[in-house]
Amino acid sequence: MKAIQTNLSGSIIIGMILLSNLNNTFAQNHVGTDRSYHLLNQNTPPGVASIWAGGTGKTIPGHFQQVKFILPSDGSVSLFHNNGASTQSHPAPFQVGIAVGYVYRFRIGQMKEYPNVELYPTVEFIDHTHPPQGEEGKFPVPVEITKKEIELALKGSMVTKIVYLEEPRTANVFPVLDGGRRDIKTIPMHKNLMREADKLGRPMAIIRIGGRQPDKFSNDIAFFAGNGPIRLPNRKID
Amino acid sequence: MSVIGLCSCASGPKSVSLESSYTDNAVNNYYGLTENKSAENETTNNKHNEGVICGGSLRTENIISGGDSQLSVINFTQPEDSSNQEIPATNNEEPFEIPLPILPDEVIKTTVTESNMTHTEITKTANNESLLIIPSEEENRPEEVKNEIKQTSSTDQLVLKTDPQTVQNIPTHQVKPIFKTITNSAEPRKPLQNVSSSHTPEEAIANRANWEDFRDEHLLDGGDRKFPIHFDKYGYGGLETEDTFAEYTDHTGKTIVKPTNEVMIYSPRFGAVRTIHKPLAGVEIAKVAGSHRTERTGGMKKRIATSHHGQRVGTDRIRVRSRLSGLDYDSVLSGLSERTVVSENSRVNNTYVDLVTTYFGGFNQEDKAVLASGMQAAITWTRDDNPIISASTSAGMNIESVFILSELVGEEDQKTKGRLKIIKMADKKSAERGEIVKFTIHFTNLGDRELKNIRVIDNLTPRLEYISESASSELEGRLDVYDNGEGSLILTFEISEELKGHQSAKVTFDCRVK
Repeated sequence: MKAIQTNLSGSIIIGMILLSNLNNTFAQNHVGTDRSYHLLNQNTPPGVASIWAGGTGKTIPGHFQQVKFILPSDGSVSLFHNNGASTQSHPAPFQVGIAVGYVYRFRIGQMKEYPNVELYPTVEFIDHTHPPQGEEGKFPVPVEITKKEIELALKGSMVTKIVYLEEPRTANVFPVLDGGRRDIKTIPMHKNLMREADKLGRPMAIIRIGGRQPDKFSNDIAFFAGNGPIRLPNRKID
Repeated sequence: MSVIGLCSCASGPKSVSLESSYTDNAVNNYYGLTENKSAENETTNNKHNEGVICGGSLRTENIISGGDSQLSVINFTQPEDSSNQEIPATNNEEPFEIPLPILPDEVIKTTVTESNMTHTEITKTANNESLLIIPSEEENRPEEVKNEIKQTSSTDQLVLKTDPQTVQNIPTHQVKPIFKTITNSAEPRKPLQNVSSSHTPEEAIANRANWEDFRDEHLLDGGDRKFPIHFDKYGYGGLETEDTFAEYTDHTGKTIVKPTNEVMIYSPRFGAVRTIHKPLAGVEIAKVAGSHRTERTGGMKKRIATSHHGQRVGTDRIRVRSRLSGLDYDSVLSGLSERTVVSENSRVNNTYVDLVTTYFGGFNQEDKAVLASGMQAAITWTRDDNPIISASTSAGMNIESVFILSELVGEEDQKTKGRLKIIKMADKKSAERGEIVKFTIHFTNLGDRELKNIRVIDNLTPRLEYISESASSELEGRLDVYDNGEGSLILTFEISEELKGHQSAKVTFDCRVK
């Protein structure tokens, strides 16, 4: 009889622990302290967030948003067309207009800190800015790949980063580092990255960088597919 | 010869002869036009259904469109049990006014072109004889009509010839179609006219959206956000970042606080957060479990075989462990609410350097009120039928009076008390990070009396960094700088001089956008 009571009490304790863990996990992933519900998170497949943003009227699909690709120092940024068949490389930093609602895969390489290293991050925009007319190119959204993120990708990690438009009244949360760069906060993996970005401002873009490489022996259409149109800055035509 | 009307009823109801229609319901219905007016409007029609008398109802378009056709068709129809027929509620046609309860004779001579023969639904007919026109009306019909009717056999259709001369007498001034204006609140999906051709329509739409409404893309400073600024025994209350106001004392000693307008500078700033997925442990097995190769040359035999070949590539176990960073963002930002920001969405009078507006923008209205008040006071004092003793606590009047009924001596001071108008301006509409923006706080005394102890206080938003030694003032005073504890400063301009009536002054300072 005593053994039965012991087993019973032990089961109850184990059950309570499991239930408490389950409850915490659910709450952290979906409902925050502000009682907001976030369906999207860092594990959402590429393209879903941008499609939802366009479908719900949050943004205008196809609207060209000026972005600025920034690397740790020197390097090149390449954009792909025709499912990767053609490539256009530009020295970093490089500013270009890309369409909201598409997933763009780009290549970074020729970095002096990482010779012979090429990575293929992706970026998708889920919102856009509203600059005054005529000043669209003055305020690009930075798509910055830091040295730490490159090193993590080379070690096999997957970095998911959300660029958000900062809420001005909480602008002092993250101080500005030397050179005008911002300290990027790393959120624990079990937390919803989208919700964390939403608390700090308005999520604009999702950047994913990992170590995945295209298949060199075949035309890896799936790897490059999804790239939308780009709008290059105005330049003089000879 | 003319026709009375035209009806080509394609749906259902049987046709009757013209003769019978004069004596049966069809005729009654024809004359019962007035009573059928409501039913007429409820009739289900098609838009091409013009110029038809059908089942006792008159399509007044007949009168207009009846033209020079030489051939017309009469097809009176009698609906089956039309008195009980329900009128469909799908009337998409514009209603028409029924001009007259009794048709004039000219109408009878109206013809309808054959091209106007279209489908017509049966309308609700009036079988009540009390609604009919007196029979004398029939006697007034032209003889041609009567004869034509009598000579016609009882057929479903009657072909008549039209006299073009009579057609010209068609009254056309009594029928006015009523058009409803359809106002759809459609989304304005068209580009602006002033958008250059280099922009796509999508961009035009995006730009046309009130970009000033996206407050999170702007740097805001000025005004009195959140809790109103107030005084208590401990000092200021409700002084948040961005707040800018002036504190002054009027001639009565009353301390007054007046906030400025809000200044918006387009200067979006971006941040980023990230997560890192990294497997902490991984075992990769990629080897051949077993492979045997036998190769011998025993005579002419050669045997190459693999008895067993296996490959296993997989991850036995992946364990992910993450630690909390120790920073609790929930607690820091629990007060942040997007709804709160949107609820304060208001158009800001973002006045840039426009001193003309500053000086004269609100003077006239204010002066009118003051002048009216003074006139009222003057009227009071010019009364001579009875003595009046008047005193004002707000205007601070100086009165000497002798309480003698026959004599009243007084001195009236019509100066108005001082009131401050304060405007904050910036010299840029947009600014990138690192740019310097010059702010100007312009204040004017709208009253006649002087203002004292003026202090202009600006709690800078965290994204503005005050550049030291950049402040200036037209009046004597000093600047005190305090840390607001949120990454920026509180600037306090204490003006030692009095601000006389209708006098203006300004203070300026520079800030760098962070």
